[in-house]
Amino acid sequence: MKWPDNIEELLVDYAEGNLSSDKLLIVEKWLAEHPEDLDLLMNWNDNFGLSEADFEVDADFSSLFVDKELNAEEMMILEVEGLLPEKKKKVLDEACLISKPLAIEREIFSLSKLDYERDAIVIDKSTLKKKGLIIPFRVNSWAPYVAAASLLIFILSILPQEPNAVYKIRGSASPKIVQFEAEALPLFAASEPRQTESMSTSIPLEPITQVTTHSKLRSFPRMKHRTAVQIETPAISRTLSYQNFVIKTTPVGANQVKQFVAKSKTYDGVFAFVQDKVLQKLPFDLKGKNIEQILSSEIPKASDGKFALDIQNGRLLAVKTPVIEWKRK
Amino acid sequence: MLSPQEYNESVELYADRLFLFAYKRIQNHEQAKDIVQESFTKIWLKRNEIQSSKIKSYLFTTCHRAIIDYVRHRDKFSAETTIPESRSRESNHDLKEIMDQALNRLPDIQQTVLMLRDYEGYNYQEIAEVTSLSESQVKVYIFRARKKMKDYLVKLDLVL
Repeated sequence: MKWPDNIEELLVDYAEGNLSSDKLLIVEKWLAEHPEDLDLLMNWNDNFGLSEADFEVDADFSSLFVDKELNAEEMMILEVEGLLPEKKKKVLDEACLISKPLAIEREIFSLSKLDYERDAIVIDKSTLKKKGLIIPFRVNSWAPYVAAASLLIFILSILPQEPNAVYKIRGSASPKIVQFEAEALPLFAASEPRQTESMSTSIPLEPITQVTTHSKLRSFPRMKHRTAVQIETPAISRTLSYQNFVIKTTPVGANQVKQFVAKSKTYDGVFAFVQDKVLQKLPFDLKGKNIEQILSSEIPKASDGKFALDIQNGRLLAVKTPVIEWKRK
Repeated sequence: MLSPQEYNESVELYADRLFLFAYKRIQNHEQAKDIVQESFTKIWLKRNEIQSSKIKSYLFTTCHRAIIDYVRHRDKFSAETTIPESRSRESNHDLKEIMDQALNRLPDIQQTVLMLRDYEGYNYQEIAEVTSLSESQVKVYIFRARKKMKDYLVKLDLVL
């Protein structure tokens, strides 16, 4: 019998059930003489069938990668993806050899791999780049903010200074807040325990023999006096001077109150330097009184502030220091 | 943190790729350029939070989101919708045009994952990160995209 040239196509159509009765007869005769092709066709639907059900995509694509029979379409897609195992590729190669439609479909699938288009370019890349000194905004965009900030600073500098205003401390030597026992500083502890502070380091262990102060006028951003305290002790011939503290000066009426507070093992008290004029301004006289006398006294509330006591010596030491701040140089 | 030098290098490396990515999606040259510029601007503003090794991923993620915003806005004001440049020349049936048409007929998300896969060579996990999809979703979208492209090409009967 003379076999038609397109016998492979007929085999494929046979497998897919698309043959007319006359062509069906030809194929059946072919298969009778070529049993090896019969085996191929027996497994056709398992290996290469393109039923509609096969078009449904498995929600979990990973299941396609396990070693199980794959349909041709999945194999072709995996091939485009570069994920088709070599063994499966050989099966696909063989199938395409005997099926031209399959080979065409494989070719078309390969076109679904997009080629990078090198003619798509951004010509003016330089406009996207950053050049020279990189400033996040143009000068004309942030200049108004600078002007506004300058104006704000100027206004703040000319405003009257609040009596209780304090300096902001810079640097790492922030004051340590000391909660005084009520017995130690009853008048402070009663109402404002946090308003007296103590340093935690660089405290002279010996009694302080002399304290001198140096005032410095600071004009910007606010007009304010700053006072550096210079301490001398018998064991320390050098002074602690400016390596120690800057203390806020607080206006009380027309005067300035300067106070230095220190606590140590040997000087367990509060030392203060108070201008006599300030004491004279107080509406009560406690100068020189000891603690028993003070505590037993009827003390009017001093509008100008509080006072600190030296427990050891029972002396009034300071007046009106809402917050003491200092800075280590 | 991204240095200015690294930023400029990323412009050189990725501007074209971002442009292609954006242009293929929205089919408008000027808008694609704007989206590329917007993406780089956002990257620059966030440079302190970005590792230089991740910049490509950041860029494509930013660009992808910008494209989504643009498409949403365009669709909302459909009267202003521009005719896609490539679709206005459907009579030109060379292979590139046909492939563009096939790509343009895909849903947006399928276009996106396919371009990231083929143009940028991203793996599924990387695509998932850029598009905020799961890895499984990415695989399914790629599978469907290739099948739809094939179906379109078969339907045209023009390619081979």
